[in-house]
Amino acid sequence: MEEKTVKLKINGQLVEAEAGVSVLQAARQAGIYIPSLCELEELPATASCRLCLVDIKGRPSFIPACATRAEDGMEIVTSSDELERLRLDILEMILSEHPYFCLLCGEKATCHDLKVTMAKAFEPGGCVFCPKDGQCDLQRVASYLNIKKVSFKLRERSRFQWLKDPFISHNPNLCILCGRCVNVCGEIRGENVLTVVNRGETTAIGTFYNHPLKESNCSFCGACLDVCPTGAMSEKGLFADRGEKLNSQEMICSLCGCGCELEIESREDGSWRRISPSSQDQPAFMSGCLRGRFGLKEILAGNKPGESPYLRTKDGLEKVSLEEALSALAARLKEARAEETAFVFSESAPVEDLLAFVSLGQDFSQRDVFWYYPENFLSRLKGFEEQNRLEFDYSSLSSNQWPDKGCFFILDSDLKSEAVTLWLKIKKQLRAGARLITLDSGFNSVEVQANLKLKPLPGREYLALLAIFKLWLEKQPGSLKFYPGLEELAGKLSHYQVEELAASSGLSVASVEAAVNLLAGNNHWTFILGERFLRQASWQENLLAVWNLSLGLAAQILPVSSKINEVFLARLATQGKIKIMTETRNLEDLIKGKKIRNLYVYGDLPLDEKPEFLVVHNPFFSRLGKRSDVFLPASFFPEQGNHFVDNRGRLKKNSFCLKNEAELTSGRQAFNKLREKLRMAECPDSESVGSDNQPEALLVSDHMTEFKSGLKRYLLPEEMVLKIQSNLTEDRGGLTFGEFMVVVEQNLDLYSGFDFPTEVSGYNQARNPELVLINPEDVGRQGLQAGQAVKINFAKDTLGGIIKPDFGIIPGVLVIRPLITDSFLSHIYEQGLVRGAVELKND
Amino acid sequence: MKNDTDGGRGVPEVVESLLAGLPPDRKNLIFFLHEVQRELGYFSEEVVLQAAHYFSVSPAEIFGILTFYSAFKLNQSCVHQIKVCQGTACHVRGSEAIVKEFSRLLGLKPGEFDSRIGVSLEVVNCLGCCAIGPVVVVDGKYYARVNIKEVEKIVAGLTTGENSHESAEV
Repeated sequence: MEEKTVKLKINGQLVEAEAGVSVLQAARQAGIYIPSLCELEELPATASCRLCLVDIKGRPSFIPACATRAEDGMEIVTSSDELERLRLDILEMILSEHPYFCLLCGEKATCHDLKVTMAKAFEPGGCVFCPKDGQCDLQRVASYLNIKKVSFKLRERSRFQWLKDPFISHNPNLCILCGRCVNVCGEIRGENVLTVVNRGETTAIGTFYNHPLKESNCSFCGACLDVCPTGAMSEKGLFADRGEKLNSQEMICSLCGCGCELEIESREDGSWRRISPSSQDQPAFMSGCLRGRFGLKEILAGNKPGESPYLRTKDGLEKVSLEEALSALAARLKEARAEETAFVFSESAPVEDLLAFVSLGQDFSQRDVFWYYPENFLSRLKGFEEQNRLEFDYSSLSSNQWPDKGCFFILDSDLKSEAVTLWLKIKKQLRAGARLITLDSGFNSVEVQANLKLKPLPGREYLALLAIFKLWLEKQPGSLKFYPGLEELAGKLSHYQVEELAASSGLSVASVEAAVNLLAGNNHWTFILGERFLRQASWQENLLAVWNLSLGLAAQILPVSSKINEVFLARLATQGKIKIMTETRNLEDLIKGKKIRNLYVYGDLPLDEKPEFLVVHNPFFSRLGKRSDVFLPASFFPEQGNHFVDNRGRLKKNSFCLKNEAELTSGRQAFNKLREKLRMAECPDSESVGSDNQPEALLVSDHMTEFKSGLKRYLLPEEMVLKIQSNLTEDRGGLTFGEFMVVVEQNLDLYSGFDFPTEVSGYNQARNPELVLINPEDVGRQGLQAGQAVKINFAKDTLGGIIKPDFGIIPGVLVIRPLITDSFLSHIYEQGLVRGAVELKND
Repeated sequence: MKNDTDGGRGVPEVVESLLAGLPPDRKNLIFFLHEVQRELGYFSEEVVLQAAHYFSVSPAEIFGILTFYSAFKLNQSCVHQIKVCQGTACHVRGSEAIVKEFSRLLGLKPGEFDSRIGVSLEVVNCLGCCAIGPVVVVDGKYYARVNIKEVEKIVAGLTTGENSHESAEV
């Protein structure tokens, strides 16, 4: 890339700036301040506040600097008597609708004690309780312009505050209509929940039919809080921190695979003031989500982790000391037969502790340690590669860089909930003109942003991809010859018509054509695979279809894992160091058959059957923990310095350390104590694992990080041809009345047994795991209503839910996102796609 | 403006027939919204959601558009729509007095609607026919050079259900 710069003069000073930046940015980079209330780096300029007007030589009138590109040879004056007077006028007009007693009140100095402004400011509480007093952009600009009076009478807008939502509140009377929140919501996050409603003097920030955020598909990412220049958008219950001493610390969030850096603000007394995405490397609104921002705060404030150890006696579970718990556990394990003892863990603990657990389990039982991995996503990819002797090019993963150019084809992945940071990067490129196709049989919150959204029937994704491939082959036969196997593949596909393939996948020929045109007309495609793409019966067909298409397009394939450490553990699994458990049924059978008598669970497991002796080692006293015989509290990620591996395979060190009163040790310390008691040698590399280098070495040693040119050829095995055949002839109308294909989507709101919707007040309103998404047509046809409680009857079990109509779901399909809390749910989750019938709940 | 039970067709069917043949292109959105206004007379949430899905636009954005333009209605019950022009030309020819007269006679403030008699009164900006101002538009019919006395006639015509009036040649 050529580095182009422009040279311009600002206030007589020679300034060099990158080509393409605005005049305002160029000035800022040169250290020249131009007041502004609506502009923010990364946000598209709206030029709504008019404060950044500047004088550019040769232009007939004053021009907003934020919306003007810096050009070579420009001569700009940012401050003159006329400009400052104009700015003051504009600010006065802004202040004619915003209570300004926090700026111009003579009693301000004493009002925090005497509260005299309470009535004066029209606002309940006045500036005393303004959530932004002292940190307000409006105050900053006002003090820069040294405003002395407001010539207009203050217009009291008397609008209702938004108080119905959890976590976020909005006070329209403090809003200056800069549009930042609307911009960040739509352009940056791709949410499009906030909008500008009405016009003229009734203009306001609103939502769809002015419903509360919780009914407007808001994801509560909190980005609007990060950008609001005044106290209009504020975190519920958070007030200005006037002169308080605040500690700010950085922490890696491990609640999903993104591993966002968070900034934790605590007060002097140690209480939590606020958690927000870190603004060190990029603006805060460019990362983070509801879980890390509001959910985590609740966990920390409620001191949920750090429970005491428990031991089951004849009177039930009793609190004991760690020493007692470990002794009892060691005593039991000494008598236990190794082959009747199983060790199972889930992914959420720090890498060091997981490795220590694995070696404890292996040393003790002389057999495999199980990783509960219901997604079975990255390891399936690996297995597929080996089976077909091909290799995906994960270069974008291993080079620690997401694709930074080109177009995206998202397959069965609701990126906004599964990997929000990747979504924000893609969204940024969409703003710059990249193309997006989504292909999703379930719910996908990003498809509204796509240039083309394809909605195939669940389980028929590969037919849709084959239809696209076939039509593409017909349209440009020349460009595909690069790799072998094409003739054979074309021969096998020649038995089918595009129309036939499209129809049986549930797509129209027109949309297949549109996809082919988009694919052919743009370069640098990246196929993004979500775990749901591989969590269904036809996952191998899906992969083959993507493989062929990606070869033809010279496209990249990027699998997106959604949980922390998943990339790392999938590598351990493919190296044969751990075994994968995709659902808990088999384990339950072993427990029932008395093959497994002792079970040590590190983390959480959706288990109904209780073995004779159950040990649960988890930061939270979870459902499973309450049924255990020995409960050991594990450390929670903010409680110690430790490592995690994010969804790009990057090792992240969490240096944050939460003060904890409870008697708490890290997992590896607990495992070593246990080893001592069992007279086992200390874990050979327990200390070195804890050191900074070891996990990194483990990551690098795997070949997933380096792309070897594997076999590249087009593939279509016989079994797949047979499957196409049977799918084409199969009657799709096989569903009886009330019956649906149920797509089970991922829900990350269950972390190590901690159930956010139940445990965090308000969370349930923001994201309710009971919602059953259904096409509005089906709602009418089945005589249902929005908000109605229903039962979904599966072959053996039932599940309750609440009807939510959504046009994004195709008819005949239900989408559920349950928290996987028992073995039945773990079973249907692993299936990915099940049949179920809806029935009204008669209570 | 037609009734929303148009020939026994339900709202979703009406919307579907309007969408049929219209490419799902963002640029067709406003055209479609005008069609819905003409056919159904107002916008229910369901209609907006259906359109948002079809055009791949967020429902909130469409709501923003609907509340911005006074041509679009969110309320079902106004059978008669009265629009009084307050553009510059009409304003200088005394349209403010005409608005006041309508307000007095109907007991409505501009921007309000009366669900009992099914009348909405609103003030709009220039209608593009300044030469014949002050202009009043009742249910799509233009009244030219309206004076205060005529306001009474127009209102009387509404309440008796007759729509007999001398329509101006525009």
